[in-house]
Amino acid sequence: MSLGFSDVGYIYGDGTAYATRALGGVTLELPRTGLTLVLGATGSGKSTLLRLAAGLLLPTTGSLTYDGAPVTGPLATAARPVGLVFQSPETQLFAETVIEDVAFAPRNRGRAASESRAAAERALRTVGLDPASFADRSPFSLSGGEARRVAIAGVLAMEPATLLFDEPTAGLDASGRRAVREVVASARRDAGVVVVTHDAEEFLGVADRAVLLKDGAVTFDGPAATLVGEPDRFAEAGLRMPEVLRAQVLAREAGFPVERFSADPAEAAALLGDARGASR
Amino acid sequence: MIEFAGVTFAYPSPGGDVVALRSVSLSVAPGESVAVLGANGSGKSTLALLANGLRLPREGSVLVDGMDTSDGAHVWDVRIRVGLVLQNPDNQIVATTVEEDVAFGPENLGVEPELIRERVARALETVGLGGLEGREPHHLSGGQRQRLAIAGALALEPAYLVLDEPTAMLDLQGRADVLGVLDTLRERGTGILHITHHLADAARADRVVVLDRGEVALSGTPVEVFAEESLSSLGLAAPPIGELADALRAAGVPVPAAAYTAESVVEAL
Repeated sequence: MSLGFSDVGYIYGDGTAYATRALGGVTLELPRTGLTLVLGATGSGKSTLLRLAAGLLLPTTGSLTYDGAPVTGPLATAARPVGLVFQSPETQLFAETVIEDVAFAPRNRGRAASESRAAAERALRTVGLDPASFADRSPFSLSGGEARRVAIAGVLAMEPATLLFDEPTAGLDASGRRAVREVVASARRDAGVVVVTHDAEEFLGVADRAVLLKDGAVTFDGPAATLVGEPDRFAEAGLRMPEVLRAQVLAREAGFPVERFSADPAEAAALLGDARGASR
Repeated sequence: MIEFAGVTFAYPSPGGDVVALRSVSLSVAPGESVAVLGANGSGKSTLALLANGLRLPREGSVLVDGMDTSDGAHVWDVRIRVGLVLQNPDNQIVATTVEEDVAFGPENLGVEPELIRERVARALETVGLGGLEGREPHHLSGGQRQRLAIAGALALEPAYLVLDEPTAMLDLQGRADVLGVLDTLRERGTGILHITHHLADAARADRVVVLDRGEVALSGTPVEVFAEESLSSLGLAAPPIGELADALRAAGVPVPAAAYTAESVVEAL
């Protein structure tokens, strides 16, 4: 069971002079396991899709189900909650200490203080921040990458069955991006993970499944490995191919016998090295 | 020339001043592109604000074509000479149509209406937004909005353009478009100070300066700087294409140190 989109359309300002169609006729199953990558250019409908998946917006046309039941409102409070990590979520940190901030959601849902604190400590450990050194710090004393991970821990403390991320690594430096990428990739142990981004480069190598959106419609839905093998799909969706893939495509065009493509830089280097050797 | 000479800057804070830059010296000549790299918190954005006098150094000086930014008499000349483009274009787009937004700067300076029209047309042409004059800025894509913000700065005909992470919010196509505009401007003689944490963007500059906790840690051509072992310890890491290039180099393929495009990798093969 999972999040099911059935012919879902969404129009902002429906019925007004400013009506703008963001999604049209999307049929999609977001599974409860693994990491699904949703890619699309700016304006393709990615963020709308994510807000629908969290129950924050309700479809203008078509229908949405979660665990087989129709979605009628926010899923953050469902029996098996859907957690949404917004873009730049660290701007929403508000408490005086990290632990209070992370424990806010379970406290808010009526769980005892000790239970909430335990959930918050677990969540901090999951994002790679030791509660012993971070719990009592002010959220405003953290680096960009640390603050983002605290914000993610705040969502993890709800113990969601499905986790949605909007551009999780945007605006972070290299070490922050690496840390957040690892947190996002490992979150699939406990939840179905959906990552919406325009940066295919960052997550293509770790994703299980990929969905491409263009102008509010799905242009590709399948295993991430299939997308890597069919890189023309990127241009079809109005996206630039990740540079690592483009190097392999260009090498093949230049006559090197590149056997197959890989999104992983090390593996791609090995494939290109072999192709160079074979052409000599 | 923009010249930073021994610049130190600190933000006042209740717990004592927080030093953002310490004894920083660097320069940008007309027609030269200098990239400033650094991790979050390295002082990059403070540098941008100092370059056109929005912040003034506590020690040392910033000179723009010989004018000291700390000298109140030069404040307007300095701001006209040094255009500033920020990370998020939405923070500097002010008008309801593309054309009016670009015209805002020169109108404020009292430039002749006829001249404003010419400048607006030229600025929009330069950034590839010709034909979109009547569009509403919020209906543009992220990359188009960032190019609109650049056009707004260009309409003041600055000698130098300082950009603070102008591609951070953009998709790959938007990034490529903005970087293309910067190449064009450099060819026309504009001096460019491009603040970024993308090594691939910095690889296109003439010179690279790496900041670490407010101090200049490395400086040189992209090839010199990217060959430094210490780069990853400064919070900077190669993009995936750079990892691919490193792995090929380790396997004996002669890939140059700043090979951050698919083309340069295939060239080396």
